Amino acid sequence: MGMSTTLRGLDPSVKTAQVVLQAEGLTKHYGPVIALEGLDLELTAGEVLGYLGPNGAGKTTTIRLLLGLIRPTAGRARIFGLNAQEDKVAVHARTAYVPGEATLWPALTGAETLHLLARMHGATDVAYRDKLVARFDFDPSRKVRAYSKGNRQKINLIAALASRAGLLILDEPTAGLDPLLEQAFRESVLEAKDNGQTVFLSSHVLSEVEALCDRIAILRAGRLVEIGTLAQMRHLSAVTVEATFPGSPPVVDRVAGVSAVRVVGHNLTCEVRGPIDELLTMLAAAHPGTLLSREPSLEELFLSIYGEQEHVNHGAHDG
Amino acid sequence: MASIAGLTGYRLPQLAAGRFIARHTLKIGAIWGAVFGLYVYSTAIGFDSLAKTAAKRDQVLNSLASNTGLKALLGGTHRITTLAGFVDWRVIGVASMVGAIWGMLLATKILRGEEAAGRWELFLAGQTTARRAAGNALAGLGAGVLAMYVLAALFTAVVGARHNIGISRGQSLPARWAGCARRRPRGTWITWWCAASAASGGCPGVSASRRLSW
Repeated sequence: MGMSTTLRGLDPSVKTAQVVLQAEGLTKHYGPVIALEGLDLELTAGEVLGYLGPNGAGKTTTIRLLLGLIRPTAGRARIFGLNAQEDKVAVHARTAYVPGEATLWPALTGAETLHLLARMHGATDVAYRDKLVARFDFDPSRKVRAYSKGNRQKINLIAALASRAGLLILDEPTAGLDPLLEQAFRESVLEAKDNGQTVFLSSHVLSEVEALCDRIAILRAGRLVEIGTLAQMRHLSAVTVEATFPGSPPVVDRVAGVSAVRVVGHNLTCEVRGPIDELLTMLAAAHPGTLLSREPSLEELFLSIYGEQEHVNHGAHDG
Repeated sequence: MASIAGLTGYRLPQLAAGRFIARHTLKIGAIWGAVFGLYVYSTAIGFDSLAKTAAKRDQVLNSLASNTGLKALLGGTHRITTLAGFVDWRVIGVASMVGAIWGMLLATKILRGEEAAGRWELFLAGQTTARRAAGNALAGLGAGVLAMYVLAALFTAVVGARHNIGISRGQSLPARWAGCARRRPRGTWITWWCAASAASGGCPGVSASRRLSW
């Protein structure tokens, strides 16, 4: 639907990857509290960025700065080449936002709320909205006060997706959605991506980010600690190796790049960064019954960045 | 702006918040306007039953007019022994207080309440700015107040047209009430309303536009 058409906010004459969102040294302090520090970020048209971080890492602050809802302490954000602070009306006309909290007007029906949100945004694709209503299995005839949290979130999602805005800013959009509807959400985001829309997806659901995003940015205490594709992140991170031996496993602690060694009976688990040859040679010499190596999942990467791995290492050595 | 096929555009999205709030406040304003109008009617028809004789009624009314507590609460009187003067004193005194409280609650709900509930962010994510959205909200609030005022004035004009009551159309109009406000020592409708809207509407309105511009 609408694949050959031009998206709102994008210049059809420019064939190269257009920069849709650009943050330069974006900083926000609340007194002594650092909510966001020196964020540099660039998103091109048709890209889906997963924005990860635990509560209080600065995800929502970033979104509020991008939307011009709060003023930065330093730095600036440009969306479609426009200053997010000074040209916010023009920016909002090309941006759709789904807030993390699905608070809506309780006395309105779902249909009335969709209409109001479309009016506030300025445009909507009615046919696509109807398609989304069916896809999300949403009944728009009931009052908002009668909806569950998931249903209220569907209203925000449908309104944002139906706006066909060039940039979708989604702040934990699937909170409250059941797994079936999460599938509908993924389908819709991929559809938007195919359509050339850019998606800024702040999420806690790592599997969702892993499935949808071209690049992933990880935020810790207001600072961007990692950004790249999942493959790039995996390359930088450790590979997990698991092996079972007929006798005692070999001692691999001193092999270069090996860490998080854990031995339970005849089973050995460890992580290795960089070349794996030396470790494999040592393991092969001990004639393993099974040998398995796998790349880390996004969850493992995320936990590793947040120092959980260190905790596990200590636990293993202690044990 | 480029467009995509099938996209429906809406006119003046920057006024969407104001229209939405006005629609909400118009309903409530109309209800309160009708309540105040009925209060005018009930006060007018109850005038004769205040006492058994006209002399006794005048005595009662004069004692009310000289009561310091009532003066402080409802304002000074003007020809209170006439039906029009009695209605003017009692209705404007009571209605201005109720109206001010209503205005304060409504303004707080619309401005501060929407922000606290997180819905204000949805307005601000639309094609607007914090200042414009606050202006929209205040305009929507004003529409509700106007509806209340017009309906109350209409009721007063209809009730006043009865020959035994004798409130002229001119006296039923808000301008006349503004005149009453000037005449009264503590002021009534307009001054009460101005104070209430400044305290309840204006302050959160300005606060809303300032707070979200941290």
